[in-house]
Amino acid sequence: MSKAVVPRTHDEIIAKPDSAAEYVLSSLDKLYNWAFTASTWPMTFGLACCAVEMMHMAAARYDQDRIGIVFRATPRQSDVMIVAGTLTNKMAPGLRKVYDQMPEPRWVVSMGSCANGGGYYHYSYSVVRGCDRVVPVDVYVPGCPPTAEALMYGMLQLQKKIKRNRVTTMWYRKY
Amino acid sequence: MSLARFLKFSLRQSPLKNFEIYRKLDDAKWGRLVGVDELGNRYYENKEERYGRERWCLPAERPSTMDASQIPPRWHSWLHKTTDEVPLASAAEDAAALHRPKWMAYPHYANFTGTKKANVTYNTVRPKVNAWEPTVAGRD
Repeated sequence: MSKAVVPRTHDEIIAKPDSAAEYVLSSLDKLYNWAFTASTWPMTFGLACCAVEMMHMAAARYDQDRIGIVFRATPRQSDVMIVAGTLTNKMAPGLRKVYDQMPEPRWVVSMGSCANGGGYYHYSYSVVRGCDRVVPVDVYVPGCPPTAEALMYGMLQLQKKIKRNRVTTMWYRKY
Repeated sequence: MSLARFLKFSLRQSPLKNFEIYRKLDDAKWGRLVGVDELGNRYYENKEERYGRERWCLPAERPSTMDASQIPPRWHSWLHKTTDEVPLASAAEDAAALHRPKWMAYPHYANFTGTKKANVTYNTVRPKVNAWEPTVAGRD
């Protein structure tokens, strides 16, 4: 009889490797993830009032620079996109284009009610009901607008998510 | 941080303890130990610090796993100066405290996002769309 396969979370695979190969590869993954968490450069996509809170995260009090977050104005050199504010129908193709221009691996943080699900403008004729209809979202930060503290917590959650990556281990498992 | 402050800091405690503090807080801080919560987080106070930085928490977790949600709600309100009341004498006494609301979990647990215990939403209303099941009429 075959052993029952207990599904393991990404965390558990990295924490407790099963075999020698997994041990080596999960170490490689850890290195890879460490490099990414130490410098997650967000593409600023400030669309509305949330952008002001996003600026507060960059400013002296919350000081995003100390956890390696530096805003880039170009999608080609950024890892994360923070969608801050109401995504209108008119802006949606622009958002998708900027997302497509970002290099892999890339992440998206949806910030505020409007980006999460339309928020106050949910029933408007000209607003996308959540930016997850246009791009895949990793972290949703609730609030209207979320405080800079909340966004910072969201970014730290994203870093945890990046740490759960297992690129090489998954590649090994395929074969 | 000034050199004077760093020297003052390094003379206070053992180098090992200082290393832990520096690693977890990214700052050279010293003060009076006010209490320890059920998860092992340590809470400190130093009235000589700059305004807004007098109270802080030294997390029990390692820097890679520490999280703001590991702070229990009543300690959170102490940290943010909602109250001056220190939540406990001991962990057991705190659990039995009269002013602890029933809904507050004891021991406190951190955010489960990303673990197996993460909250998964589910629908409780009838579907608004009825799927069409095509049937071919017989050719009699």
